[in-house]
Amino acid sequence: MTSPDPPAPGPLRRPLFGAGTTHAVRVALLGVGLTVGAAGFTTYEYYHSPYWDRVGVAPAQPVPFSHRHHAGELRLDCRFCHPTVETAAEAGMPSTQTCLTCHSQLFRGEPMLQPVMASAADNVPLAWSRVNTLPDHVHFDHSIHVAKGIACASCHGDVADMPLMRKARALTMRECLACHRDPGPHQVAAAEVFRPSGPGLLTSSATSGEGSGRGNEAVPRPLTNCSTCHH
Amino acid sequence: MNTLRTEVAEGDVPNPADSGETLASVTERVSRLPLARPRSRFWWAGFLAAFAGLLLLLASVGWLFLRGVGIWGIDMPVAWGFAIVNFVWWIGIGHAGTFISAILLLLHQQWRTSISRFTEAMTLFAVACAGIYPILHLGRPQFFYWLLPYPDTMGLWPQFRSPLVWDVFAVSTYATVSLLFWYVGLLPDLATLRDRAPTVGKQRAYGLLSLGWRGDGRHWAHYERVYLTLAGLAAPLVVSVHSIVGLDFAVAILPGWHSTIFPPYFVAGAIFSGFAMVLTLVIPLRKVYGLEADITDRHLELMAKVLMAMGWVVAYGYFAEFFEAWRAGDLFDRFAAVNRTVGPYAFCFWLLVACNVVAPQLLWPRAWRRRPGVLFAVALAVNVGMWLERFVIVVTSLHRDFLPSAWGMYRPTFWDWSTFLGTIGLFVALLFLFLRLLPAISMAEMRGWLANREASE
Amino acid sequence: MAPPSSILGTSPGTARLSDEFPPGAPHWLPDLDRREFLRLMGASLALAGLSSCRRPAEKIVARVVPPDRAFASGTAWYATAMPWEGFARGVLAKSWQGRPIKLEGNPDHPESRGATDAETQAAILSLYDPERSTGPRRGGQAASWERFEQEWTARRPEFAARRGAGLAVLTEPTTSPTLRRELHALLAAWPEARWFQHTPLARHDRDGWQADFDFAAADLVLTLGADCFHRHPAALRQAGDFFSRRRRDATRRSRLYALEPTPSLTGAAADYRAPVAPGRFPLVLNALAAALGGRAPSAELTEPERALVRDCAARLAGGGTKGICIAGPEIPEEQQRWVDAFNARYARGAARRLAAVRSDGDAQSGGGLGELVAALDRGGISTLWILGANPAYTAPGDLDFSGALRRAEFTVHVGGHADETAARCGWHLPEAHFLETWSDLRAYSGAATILQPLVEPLHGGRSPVEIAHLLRTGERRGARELVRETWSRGVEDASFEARWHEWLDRGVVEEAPAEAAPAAAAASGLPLLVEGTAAAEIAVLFRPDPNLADGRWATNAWLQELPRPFTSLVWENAALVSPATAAKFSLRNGDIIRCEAGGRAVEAPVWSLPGQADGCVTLPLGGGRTAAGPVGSGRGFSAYPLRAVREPWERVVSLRPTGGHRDLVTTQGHFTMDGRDLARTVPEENPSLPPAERTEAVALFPTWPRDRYAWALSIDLDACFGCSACVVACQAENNIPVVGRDQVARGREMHWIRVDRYFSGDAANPRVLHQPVPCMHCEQAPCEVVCPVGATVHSSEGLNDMIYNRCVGTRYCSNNCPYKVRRFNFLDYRAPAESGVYLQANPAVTIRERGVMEKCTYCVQRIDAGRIAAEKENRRVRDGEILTACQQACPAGAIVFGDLNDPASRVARRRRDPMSYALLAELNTRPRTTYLAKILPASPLAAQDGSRPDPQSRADG
Repeated sequence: MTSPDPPAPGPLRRPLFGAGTTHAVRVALLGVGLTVGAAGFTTYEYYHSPYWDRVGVAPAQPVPFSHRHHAGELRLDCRFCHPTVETAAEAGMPSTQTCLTCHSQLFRGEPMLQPVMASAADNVPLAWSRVNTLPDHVHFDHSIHVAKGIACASCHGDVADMPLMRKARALTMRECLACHRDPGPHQVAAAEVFRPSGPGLLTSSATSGEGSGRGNEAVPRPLTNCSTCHH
Repeated sequence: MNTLRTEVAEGDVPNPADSGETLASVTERVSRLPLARPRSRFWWAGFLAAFAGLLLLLASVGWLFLRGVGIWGIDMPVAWGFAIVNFVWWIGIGHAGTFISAILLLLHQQWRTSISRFTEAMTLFAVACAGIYPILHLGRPQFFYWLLPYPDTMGLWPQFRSPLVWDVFAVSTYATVSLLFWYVGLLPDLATLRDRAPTVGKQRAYGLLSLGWRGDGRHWAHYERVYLTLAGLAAPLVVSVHSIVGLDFAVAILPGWHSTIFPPYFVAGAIFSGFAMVLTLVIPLRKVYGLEADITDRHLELMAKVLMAMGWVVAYGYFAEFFEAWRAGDLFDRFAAVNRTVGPYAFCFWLLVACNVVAPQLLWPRAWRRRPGVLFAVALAVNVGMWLERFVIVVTSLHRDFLPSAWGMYRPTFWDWSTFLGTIGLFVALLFLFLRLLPAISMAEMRGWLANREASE
Repeated sequence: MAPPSSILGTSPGTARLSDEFPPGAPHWLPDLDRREFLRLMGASLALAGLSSCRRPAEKIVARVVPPDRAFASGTAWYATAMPWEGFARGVLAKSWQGRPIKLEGNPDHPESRGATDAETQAAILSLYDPERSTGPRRGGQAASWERFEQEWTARRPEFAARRGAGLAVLTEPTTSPTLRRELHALLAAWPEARWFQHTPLARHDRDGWQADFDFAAADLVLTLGADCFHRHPAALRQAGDFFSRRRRDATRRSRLYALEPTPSLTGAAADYRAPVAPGRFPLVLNALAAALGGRAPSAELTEPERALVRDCAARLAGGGTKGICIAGPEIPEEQQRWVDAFNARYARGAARRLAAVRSDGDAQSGGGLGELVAALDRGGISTLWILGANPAYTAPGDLDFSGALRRAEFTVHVGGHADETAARCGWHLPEAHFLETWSDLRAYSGAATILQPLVEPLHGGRSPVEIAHLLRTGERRGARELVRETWSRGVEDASFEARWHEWLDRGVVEEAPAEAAPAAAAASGLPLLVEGTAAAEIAVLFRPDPNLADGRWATNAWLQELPRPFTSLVWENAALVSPATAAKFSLRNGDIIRCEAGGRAVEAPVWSLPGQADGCVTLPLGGGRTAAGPVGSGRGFSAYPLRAVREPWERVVSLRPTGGHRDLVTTQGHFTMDGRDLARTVPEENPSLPPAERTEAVALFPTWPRDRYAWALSIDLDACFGCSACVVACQAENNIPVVGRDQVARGREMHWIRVDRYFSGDAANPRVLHQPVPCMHCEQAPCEVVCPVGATVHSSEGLNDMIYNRCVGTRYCSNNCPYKVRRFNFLDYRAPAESGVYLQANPAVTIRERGVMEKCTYCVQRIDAGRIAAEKENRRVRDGEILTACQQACPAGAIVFGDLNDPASRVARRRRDPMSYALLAELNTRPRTTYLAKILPASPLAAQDGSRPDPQSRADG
């Protein structure tokens, strides 16, 4: 029922709302719903996107070092430049002297090599731009992964095809977990570990990593203990 | 006409008609508040005072986010303080509205009509205040969303065994349903305001809000179906929300928390404090806006009865805690019980007994139940008492638990108090806005009720 | 643990480190590796944890020259020593990428034997102390070494001419052969020059010899106010030896009796302890002598005294008992002779005399501070060098050192900090930290250690050795050269290099053992001591502060915030009085008293300490520093003004309450167990707990299936004597922040392992129970079920993992933790990003940001490292391969960590011990941390011999 006594003197001259108002309101309501939904979806996609994770990004380097040339064509062993990959948490970066083992003879005059020569001459270290990075609260140990037969390529991709080093994988926790939950398929023979263009691992299972509701499984899985990486 | 029509038990039921209300007079009286805005000076004074409180809240929260929860008095072992106390207190207050609107509706308590709208609004605002705290009290509030299940890049989910996760669902559900329930109930009245609004602007505003309500039969049919359904949904929520809040404590192994009595006793306490708050607000309100005809002394008396009944349930809860401690004979439980009554915080405990158990006993004589002054005082006491109850549960249980070496004290800081006062400011400010903009009493239901009365004569 | 790697020349990587510290500006430059870089950026990065902002681009800085192999992994260990009151504490220093980050005991060192104490653990922080002296100062103005060298070379000829007349050197007593060589050479060159020595702390030698005891051999130990497990140069060895006799497999449990006026950690470990005011010592000792002679005690003894005397006498009577008696340094000579007689008669080889190791009694030395001040007042001294000491602060009140100092025209202070003395000297020169320079020190036993640097001096400091050489010759020579010169004497060059490297490697110099001084002639009997009349007046006792010693550690925030023994006081000292004395003057804790003697007074807040002898007030030294930076200045009161040259340890005073009050801050507010059986004890006759209490009830949640390892920790309350080395070791290992006095007052201290202290029995002479409480790592952890985000979860190896970066800070876990071992970052407790202390941070442990919970992890970073090492070799982790930081530090071997799945592991054997129990087992949380109950001695009457029933049934500890 409407109010018993209309306040306005005489009948309204024109209706309060136009004919289309109802539709307008409906569309508006629908629009609000869609906007909210779209916002959520976009956010999700953004943070799950390679863009956010900088996959494929090859930052500028003081020296345009080509893994394709050194690791791919010349077949230099990874350990030649990353000496502590089997013994320490950090794989280690080549010292200027390491570069000079060859370049004291080869291409000495090349302009692109001048930063190396300068570094050796003035004893000033080269500062490379980091390509693959993990958050501060993640403790990753190269040596044990290598020892357990996880190929470099599993995380670093096919460096033999990288003129400039670029980030090959998102390296999200989801990816780490995917492999830690079921490492078997990703392990290779010791000989394979340092093959620059290793089998493109993880790609399939990477995104299918499902969360564990209670943060720990009924079956003991040392690899999925939080303290395996976080301490 | 109105299928809210119910078989009315004669005599005992208060009825505005007895105080000479008619269809027209009800509508006129109630719609004057938003449209004619009487008692403007009182409104402004009250609103500005409350708004100052709101600003205080903003300042406190700003400082909190800047420095961290360390600005509060919490420590080890008392890691929960005012934030949780206030959260539980506000949630409790937020129970009266839905209880009155939904449960009493289903129980055919027609007298609820005059107070349902107002208490529903109160419920919403109280839940709004409560909802702030769980986020504020986080050490890293920016990550509150980790309590929600969503597909993250870490491949993790919330830990569903934790009562805090249950809280998230319980409280948000309750807030949503209460909001819908309240808004749906508002529709016919919004239409009334639209039709009576003096200016086109207001007509448009109320018009939009009323979603094109024209009051024809189909509208009423839908309206009542929805309203009943929501009532049916809301009723169990009234029980579930505070049961789960009770579980926040009962699930813990802490002496003084680890008790099976908590869920029912929390629900009773919630309704207890809810009704107390309703009385605290309604008594001055009806006086200021002259609504005695609609919210009659008889209403107050009935609410007083509910208050007493719930008071006894709560008192039983206290008793049960001590009895259990004694009967189970657990060293730590017994100590916790004794520590409450004679420990450093004993004064809080005895004050709460005075407020929650003794004060309501004033309402035995019928005459006193009908005396607004007395009722108001008792209601105020119960509000304080229920806040103290939560303080006693949270703080005195935590400050001396298992290892004497780890015992400590809790001393609230300025920021504890300012945040608390701030949320009161928010609550009152919202109430004043509500009074200014929306009908405080459901005109539609009142008219329907009067109509029944005429029809039944 | 990696073995110590020897190093050649200065340690590799120092060049890089010194890059990070431009002299005078101790702040990092961004050429750090990823983790350290991010950590230092932490404040701006992690703050508010803006998960949505892109990470900044980082640089990886490669080396120019590949590093030393030992260093390639980033971590290297070096054997060196820390000076403790001049004596060596052998340590292994851990260096990470050229940055010293942790000190551990050197297992090869005869005194430390792999253990450490709180001071040694905290020493690493002092290296990065922002308050350290950053360069030479002249009249308070920044100056340069060059300028100083010019001035000194200008002055030297005059001394050369006058054979050193007018030149005086003040040092702390030292054990450094090289430093002594330099000083002797100086005095040889300039006979008129004077060398004085000053320390406010105890001397450990008497006319040329020092007592040395074999606690492993002794069956009975009687201490007279000696804190031989805590404040003694040989404390680590003595504690280790003594508690080896309390292991579960020790067939004969040795007895410890303590007579002391003020509670000490040694006294707390005693089977029988009696609080005895110094005046009563002769009386009690005579009574003991009488009892040993079968006579009745002449005077009236208190109940604790009688029990002690009776039991001690009974055991000594039993023939072959080897009994030793150790007197505190403050015991008067007469009683010292009684002690000598006792040892001569009962020690039976467990006591010997060593030639004094420290230079206190050096024949060349011209005496102490008193003599120096006298000489200054005579005006005979124009130039004074002060090496290391801080007499302006530590001088006794009746000695006006500062006044006398003004009479010298050229004064040089050499010290790590620009302290009170530096402010009064013309020149201040920064002394290098012991991890920055070459030197050599001897331990109490005489064993010498070559100190080697891990980093170049951060602030251009120099070693005292270098400075002594500069003083003597006016030339600058490297400390390494000087030290090598000392040790190459009498060694043919061919073998020297090899031996030198071996010495560096082991951390101990191979040399002929110090010749023992002639033992005292076995006295016929114990001398009768003159018994004074019972003193009515109040005496104050001056004692080194348990944490700050004589104040030298005042700038060390870890030691300031370390709860003191018995009182758990932090950030300040208090005057200790017995409850009876407190009642007599109606004093509450914190009430200010005024002690007055000889026209000087000290005002101090009191703390009523059960077990303190009535009628004495203990004033800990080391408080009330005025020039110790924000950390050390104005903490508590200084007792030195009341001290007198003649009465350094005890003084009769008039005491009155001033009516003032100061709220003291303690980490433990409640020192009784309230009828709860927490720190448990068992009688010696029947050392086991009822089996019923050791069975587990059923659990609601499914029990965790055990994976390859099941880590567990066992703490032996019978061995723990409460030294708190574990607390600081944990702090150093796990990057635990310092929160400051106000936060501790609010109950927000952050220590992951705390030492609970409970007093039981008579307040006049209570039994003190120390109970270290780390995380229990419950198998049914209450904290895990209530965390809404799964930030604390159970690992498959039984650890209760805490993941900081998942924590949202509901603090529900702490509420639900019955042991209250969780710690919360209520505010941002991280040091400012630019402060050097981050360079000490352990890179394997995340630094926690504001609003996250943290707690003991069983040093999970060490577990992971150990597991990885084992996995790489395809083997299981060996028992004892992984040590937690607390376990590694513990001098008494009270803490054992290991794998329960290996039934032979020490921890598994301990858990089978009938004395093993879980704290609050009735809650059925099934802790992985368990305790071994403390053994209380049999009643004195029943006491016959200490052998325990069927030792076979007892598992090894």
